[in-house]
Amino acid sequence: MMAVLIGPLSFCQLVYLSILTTTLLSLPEASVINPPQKLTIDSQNFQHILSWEPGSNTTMPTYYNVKYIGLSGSEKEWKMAKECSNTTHLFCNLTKEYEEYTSTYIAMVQRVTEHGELNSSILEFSPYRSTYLGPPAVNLTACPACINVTVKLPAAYLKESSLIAIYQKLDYTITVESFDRKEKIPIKNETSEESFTYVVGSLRSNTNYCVSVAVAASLNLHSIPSALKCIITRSNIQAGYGIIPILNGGLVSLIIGIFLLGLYKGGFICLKSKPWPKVLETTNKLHCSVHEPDPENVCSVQVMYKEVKKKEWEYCYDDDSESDSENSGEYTRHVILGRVPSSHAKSNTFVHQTIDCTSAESSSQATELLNSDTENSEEHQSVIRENESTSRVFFHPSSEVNSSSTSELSNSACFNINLNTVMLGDPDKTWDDSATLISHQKDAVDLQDSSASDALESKFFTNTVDVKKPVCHNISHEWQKPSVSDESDASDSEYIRR
Amino acid sequence: MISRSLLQFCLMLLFSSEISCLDCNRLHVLQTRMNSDSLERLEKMGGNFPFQCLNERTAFKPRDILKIRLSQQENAKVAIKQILKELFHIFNNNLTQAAWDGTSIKEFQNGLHQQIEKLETCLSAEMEKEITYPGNETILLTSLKLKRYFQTVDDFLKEKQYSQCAWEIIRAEISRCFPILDILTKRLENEGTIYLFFLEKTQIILYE
Repeated sequence: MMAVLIGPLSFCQLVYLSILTTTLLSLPEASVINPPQKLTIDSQNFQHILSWEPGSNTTMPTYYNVKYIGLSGSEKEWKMAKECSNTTHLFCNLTKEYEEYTSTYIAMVQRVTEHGELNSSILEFSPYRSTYLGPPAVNLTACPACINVTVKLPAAYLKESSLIAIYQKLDYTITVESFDRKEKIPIKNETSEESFTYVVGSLRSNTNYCVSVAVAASLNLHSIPSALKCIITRSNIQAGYGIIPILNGGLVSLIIGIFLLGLYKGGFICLKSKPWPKVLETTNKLHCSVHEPDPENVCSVQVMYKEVKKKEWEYCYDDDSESDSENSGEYTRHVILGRVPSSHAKSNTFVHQTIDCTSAESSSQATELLNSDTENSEEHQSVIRENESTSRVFFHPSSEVNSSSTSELSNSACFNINLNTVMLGDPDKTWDDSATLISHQKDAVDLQDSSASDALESKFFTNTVDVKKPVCHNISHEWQKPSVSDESDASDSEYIRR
Repeated sequence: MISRSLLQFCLMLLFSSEISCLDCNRLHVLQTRMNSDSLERLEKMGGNFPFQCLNERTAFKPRDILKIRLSQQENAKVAIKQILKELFHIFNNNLTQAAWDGTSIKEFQNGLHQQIEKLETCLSAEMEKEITYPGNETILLTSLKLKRYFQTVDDFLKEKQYSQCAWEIIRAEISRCFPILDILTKRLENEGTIYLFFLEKTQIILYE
């Protein structure tokens, strides 16, 4: 009975003991060292650095081995990375190990323990496809509204090789952005040189721009861009650039000058002011005379025939003159002789001869004729007086007038004209005036003093006739000359005819 | 007279339009882009290299084909054409054991085929010209080397019976051909030989 009881009790103990031992035995395994984990390769320009993390429950120090194998090779064994055998670091430089850059490599990290080695998971890596290219060395120089970008490719960590030697051609991207990050200009191009220059144009001057360059290959798109480098573009206004617009302006002005010169030579442009032709000068005078309000200028002379019967008056005319006048039947002119009473009482024919008050020529012609009658000067006193203002011809026949003289006078041109007795004025209205004049003259007949009478008559004359020289002194004088001369010529011919 | 020249003009326009669509002058740009796409598709086909296949690796000879540096543009065209055709031939084999995505495989094959077509269109005109290019020995040698190389690959696949490991190894090896293709394509950039050839022909027609 006791054995039965002892049996189960020992069995329980056995079970308990076995459990204990197993747990005790398994204790070392509980502190299992995990292999290295999280293998990563940081590759830049064919420089490969493998890094990993240690497993949990690691005790210091821990030693690692790095092993690798290339797929293109035929080795059966893993290769050991020489620099990373029994290393305590958590990284390993595999640049020299991964020589065959087109091949794919598998890497593994072993943890060295007293019990053995713990292998990590493997990491596949192809340098040609996965290495990061760059960053290139960038140099900037400013130019007007552009930036000169000089790029130098980084060196490849390969024996006697460069990136261009490996890839033949590389594509590069230049990113130009404004300082405030508002504009971004990507420029893509390709190069087959280690060092190259690119000019980024069409930029604003005096602006801050930041440039970054990235390099990549057709079969390897991994790249690291360069750090941003900023520069301010130069201004466009420069002395050198100012020459061209100045030259253009000079050329244009020269062309305009030649054109104007051609016009001048062709006669389209006149610089000299030509003097007014003399022929056309009269038009100006005419213009002047017309606009001069001078009623006194109008001193038209009109010869009228009028019969006035006055007994007191004695005319030097004899019957011949009358007959002449009657015979002619036309307008004849009878010259009124002086106030000197003559014995002859002739028919009272009063002749008005209206002459021009400014006719100097007529007076001169009259003087000529008078001078021809020098024979009669004994009997007649011909005084020719010329006034400054007016030219009058005065005839003062002597007191004693013979018939012969009168006849002579009649035969010859009887030019005894006393302008003082000459009537000037409107033919319609003058009759009364003439009567007045005659009456006046009648009173003054007795006066022997010629000068006094002359003065009086002149006074009357001047009263009746307001002779005034026109303002346009010279012009009118000249102008009226020919016409008056014509008139005087006509009158002379008349006299001669008589 | 006028109708004849008009006909010639129309023919020239037709030829030029056909050529301009392809634009053999810009062949290198198209080929570069297609190279990049093909390589991406190749990498996308499978995942990481299986650990267990590491022991089955072998070296494919001659190894120095990767150092091909052809200076002549015409030689480069010939070499590119040969490589693409060989690649296409390889991937026409039994891919059942490869354990790859069928769509990816088809995409890769189509891409290769297009690349070959475009290249052949631009090359055919040159063949008619029958110009003997200098340095023909170089291209023959290169051609032979390439032929040997791809024969090795084919033999390897046959030997391993198109197993998954074999295909993975081949995939890793073929991915190394594309950098060579890229370099050779960059040689195509200079010279517009095909364009000049057609231009000469049209000038002869017009001036007759």
